[in-house]
Amino acid sequence: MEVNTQYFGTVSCAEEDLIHFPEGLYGFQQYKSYIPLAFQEDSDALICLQSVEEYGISFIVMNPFLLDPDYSPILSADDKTMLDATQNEDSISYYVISVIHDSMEDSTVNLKCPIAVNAQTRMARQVILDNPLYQIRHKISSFGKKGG
Amino acid sequence: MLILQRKKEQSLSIGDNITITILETGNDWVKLAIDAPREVPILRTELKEAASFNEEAVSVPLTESSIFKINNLIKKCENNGDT
Repeated sequence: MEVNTQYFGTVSCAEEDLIHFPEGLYGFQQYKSYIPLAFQEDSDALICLQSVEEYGISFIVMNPFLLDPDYSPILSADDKTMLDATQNEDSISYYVISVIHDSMEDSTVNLKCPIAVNAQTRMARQVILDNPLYQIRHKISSFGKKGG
Repeated sequence: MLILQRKKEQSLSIGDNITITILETGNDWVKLAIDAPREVPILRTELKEAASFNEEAVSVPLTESSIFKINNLIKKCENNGDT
């Protein structure tokens, strides 16, 4: 299929490239299918999740473990059931949604509500973590500072 | 802001139509029963915040210069991880 994208022009992709959110994302329940498009080849550091249903809907997501190697999301029992990961979570990947302004000081990532994707089934859910340490608006500039 | 203390099974009323009852409490949680008209939306606050963050995320486009800056920051993070 051909998808009009905000950052990559018209992209052709196969059904198996898509990621499906049966419940949508918070505030965007009506959009269920997205195509992940990496800004740098072979890197999941910075990815655009482009809705295949609506050109104007795309999210910039990042690999949270690159930002914080100690990031440790814990899925609820309900999340695991929905993602078909009750037996093992090896196939679950996580991405965090970012709001990136020209000023890094104003830019934030949502560590509280990461996107969990089952890489095998391509099913995904935006989960809400219980851990009170993770904030919805975590400053991106706080990363990459330790050790100078 | 009004702060009240209530015991288990006690309740409080908001206006004429909304009643909130404390059902159970645990170490770090409470279970509430909320009786309200159907048209009153009740949402876990973090859902509302997550939705408003997502709306912001969709409305702020990435620019060439912000891609450059964010890639630099990612590189910095990777270097920190190596040392």
